[in-house]
Amino acid sequence: MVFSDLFFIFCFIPLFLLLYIVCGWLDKFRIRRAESDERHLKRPMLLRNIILTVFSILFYAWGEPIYVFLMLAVVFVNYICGLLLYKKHNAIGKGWLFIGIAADLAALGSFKYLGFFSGVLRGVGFDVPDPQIALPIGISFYIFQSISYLVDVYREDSKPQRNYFDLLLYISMFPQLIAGPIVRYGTVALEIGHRHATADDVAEGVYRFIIGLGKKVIIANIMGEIATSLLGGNLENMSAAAAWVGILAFSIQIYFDFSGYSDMAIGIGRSVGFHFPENFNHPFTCNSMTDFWRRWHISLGSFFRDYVYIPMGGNRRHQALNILTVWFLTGMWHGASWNFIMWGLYFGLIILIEKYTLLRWKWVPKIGLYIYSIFFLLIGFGIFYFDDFGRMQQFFTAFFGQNESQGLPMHVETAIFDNLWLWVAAIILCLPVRRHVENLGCRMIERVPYAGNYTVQFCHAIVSIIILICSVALLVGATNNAFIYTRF
Amino acid sequence: MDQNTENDIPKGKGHVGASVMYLLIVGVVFAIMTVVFVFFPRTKYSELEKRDLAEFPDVSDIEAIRKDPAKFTASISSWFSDTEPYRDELMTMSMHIRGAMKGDFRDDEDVVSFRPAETADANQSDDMHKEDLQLSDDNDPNSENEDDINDGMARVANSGIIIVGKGENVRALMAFGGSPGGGGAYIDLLNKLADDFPGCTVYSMIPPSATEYYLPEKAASASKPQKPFIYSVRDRLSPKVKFVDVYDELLKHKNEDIYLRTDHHWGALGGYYAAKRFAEVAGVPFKGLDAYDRHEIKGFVGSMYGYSKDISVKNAPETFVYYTPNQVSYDSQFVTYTLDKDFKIVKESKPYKSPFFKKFNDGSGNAYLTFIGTDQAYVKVKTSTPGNRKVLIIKDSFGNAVPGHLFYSFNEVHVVDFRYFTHNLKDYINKNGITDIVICFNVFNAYSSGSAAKVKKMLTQAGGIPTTSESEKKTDKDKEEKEQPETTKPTNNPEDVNAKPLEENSAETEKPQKDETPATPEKNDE
Repeated sequence: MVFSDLFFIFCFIPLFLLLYIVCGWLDKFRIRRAESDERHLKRPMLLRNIILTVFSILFYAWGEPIYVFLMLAVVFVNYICGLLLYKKHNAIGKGWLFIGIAADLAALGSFKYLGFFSGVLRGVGFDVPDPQIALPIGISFYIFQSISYLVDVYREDSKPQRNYFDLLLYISMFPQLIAGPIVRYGTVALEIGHRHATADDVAEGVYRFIIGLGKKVIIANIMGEIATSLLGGNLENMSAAAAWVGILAFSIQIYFDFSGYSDMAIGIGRSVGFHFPENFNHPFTCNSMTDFWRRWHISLGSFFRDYVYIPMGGNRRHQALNILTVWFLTGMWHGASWNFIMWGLYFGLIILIEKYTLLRWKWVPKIGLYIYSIFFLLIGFGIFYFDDFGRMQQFFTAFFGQNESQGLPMHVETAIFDNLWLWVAAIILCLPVRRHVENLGCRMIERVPYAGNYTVQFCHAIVSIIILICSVALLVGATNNAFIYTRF
Repeated sequence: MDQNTENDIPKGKGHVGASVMYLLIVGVVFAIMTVVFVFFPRTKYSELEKRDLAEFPDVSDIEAIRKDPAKFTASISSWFSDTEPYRDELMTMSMHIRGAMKGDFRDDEDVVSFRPAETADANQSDDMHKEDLQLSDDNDPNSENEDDINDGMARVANSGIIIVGKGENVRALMAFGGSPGGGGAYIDLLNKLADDFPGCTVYSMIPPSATEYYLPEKAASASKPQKPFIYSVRDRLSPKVKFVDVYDELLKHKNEDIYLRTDHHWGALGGYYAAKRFAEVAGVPFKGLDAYDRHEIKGFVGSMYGYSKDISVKNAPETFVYYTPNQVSYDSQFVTYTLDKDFKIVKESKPYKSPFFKKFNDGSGNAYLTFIGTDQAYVKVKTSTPGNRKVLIIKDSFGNAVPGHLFYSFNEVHVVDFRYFTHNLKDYINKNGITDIVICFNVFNAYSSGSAAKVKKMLTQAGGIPTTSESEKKTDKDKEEKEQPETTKPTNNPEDVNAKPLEENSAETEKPQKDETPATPEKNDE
């Protein structure tokens, strides 16, 4: 199931909310009775957690009715390993950590990369069959969460989870299950057992969810249409304008698609009392590639930083190797395809070079940094978009103006003018304007006590309703609606 | 990690009450929407898209569910999002939203936008291309330039729609992707007809699409020129076949309303000029428009609205004009077919009499059905024109606009659709004493090998659809309405439900008609 599906919005969510609220009351009722019975007090969230887990499993099983068992098994293995390795700093602890991580990576490897590796082997002459395994949705995300759990427990950053179902809840929680953010166990460990969602939390969560929905449905889907119309067809003799506008549309699409998903995940989480980490911070306002990766898919970057880069030695030992390893893995994480590996290494290399050049040069004007960043980002997304090297080559030939230019071809003109206001809005929304507008608005009205908050929330309500209605209308008859990142 | 990210919302005093207010407002709206989406009756048929919507998957088929449970759950999701209440209204709204995103500072004549096929609804373009505007180039053995056709751009161009102009002058054009070498099957068909029926004269008539005359220079790359193809067909036809140069005739009248702006068909005037040229070639009498009554259907928005899903087409309605001959009496006899969901003919009606021209109300999106009323029929028109010339027009939906202008020219006019005819065509031609055979395929169908193949098959088929009685047919009428995909129905206007052909007593059409049966079954537009 995807968030931007009418079935999810109008069947799954209302039913979930209804049962969750009812269970909240029942939990409260249990707590009131707890004075006479100790057992109830221990697990104040019990019923709500059951509902959340059941709906998460349902959510996953809806799309992956078979692979849901793989997820249950992965959680079980991690549960056992977590218990066994805790507070054991000897070889036994390490052994269990190794076994747990190996099992996680084996699951990821066999379901995500087996086909790729067998293809590589076939390419060099070995006669291996193609296993033809379909990628289980979200496996890259929940395997990484599992690894973070094991490592955090091993490092004693968190206690191991003694209840299988609570660990299952952490791994399978439907808001972030299939496309992140990659929530570390430590971030939500306490909230699994004890959390409280205030009216502010719920309001903020709902608002975030609707903003995310709008980002996905209004901006990303239409930008995706434009990108497909320009980049999806025959690329021979493509004009430079088509290449630029097309890849720009794709860049905007992927940002709003993915950050929209993260917003929706964070929003749902917030509404039920979880505080997931932020995943984006206006990545297109970056001033270097290094900066970009601090703003883009933050949870993945920090995962690799904390679990690969620093353990490998960080900047103390063979930093170049560490950087390239991390970026090789980052690329690889995105998909079992050479272009993703190339994409990762491309960023690794740029970031490595930046360390010795750009980040030390203080004289480069801001605008120069910005243009530099956007230019290399677009190239990066070009590598990301084309998993066929022949097409990638055709694209870059056009991108660098090697084809005879014919001015502004009609389909490019169509892409721009038919969606002019969307382009304007999308580009503005890539900048931190919303924050500025809200800050400014608040400063203007904050002299009036109380009224300020009501005005803000009233504006939020109007915005929410407009976005909700527009999104639903645009979803009617939408054909291609999947999130890009659910396939990683 | 929370600070310094893009989504911090500043807070002041009284935030709890404000949050509660927010939740109440949004909650109420969301609850209303949920109730509507979940509990209101679901839409079963989309007027706008002209298709039956998804059905709830078969729950009883446990075996299939066990085999592929993901497919089952997915079909529930897609059923839910396909059949939402007020689907057409919501889609219209979504087109308005898309329309609002347009920003145009360009001059009127500079405004051109191109919609490749992918953005159009899959089902719809399927219908359109499967039957009406066939372009299955890839299996055309006679196409000399296969690479050219098979490349991605050509494919896009085949089904792309180009929208030109803005405001009231918007014109939607369908791109053509064929190359001059195509049309082999069409040529074979005509040559074969000429050989098989030495007693008849065989004519080829290929109406181009409006794209050919109204595509702005700057958009030239979006569609391949049709002229080279049409004239290459002419040059490859056997000398026995007479070529009717519709292309040239229409070019002369390009500044008149020969094509509809919002529909993929031409207008009555286009059909009139084509008929005129044909009459010249065939050497039969022909009368000018002063021998016709002129009728108007105002506020017509045709098929291109639904195909392009572009609100600017809907916002530019046009007047559908047609002409009915007033100095000749004629009497048309229909046989209509019932189709199932897969376009298969399941029933054939008995012959019955019905007006040749149907009457539609202003604002009807079905106005092009004025001629004959449907494609799923064959018609025999007996006119008061003396002589023994009897013409058979084998046509696609473009051809519907032609026969109405030939009643002064022939004693009998027979019209057969290339998709729907179950009898042996050879027998039909011989039995009816046909003297002139016209193949009137638009440029898309002339290009496609499949269209010609269908007609070829008619020459040898035995025919075998059970004939049903009139009354039986009527009981099936409701069902039939839904089942008929109406591929050529040029409407996409959701407000069109009340459009219906005039009954036989109407002043518009009764004059020349003699005795019609009441409640004719082909009037499936009610």
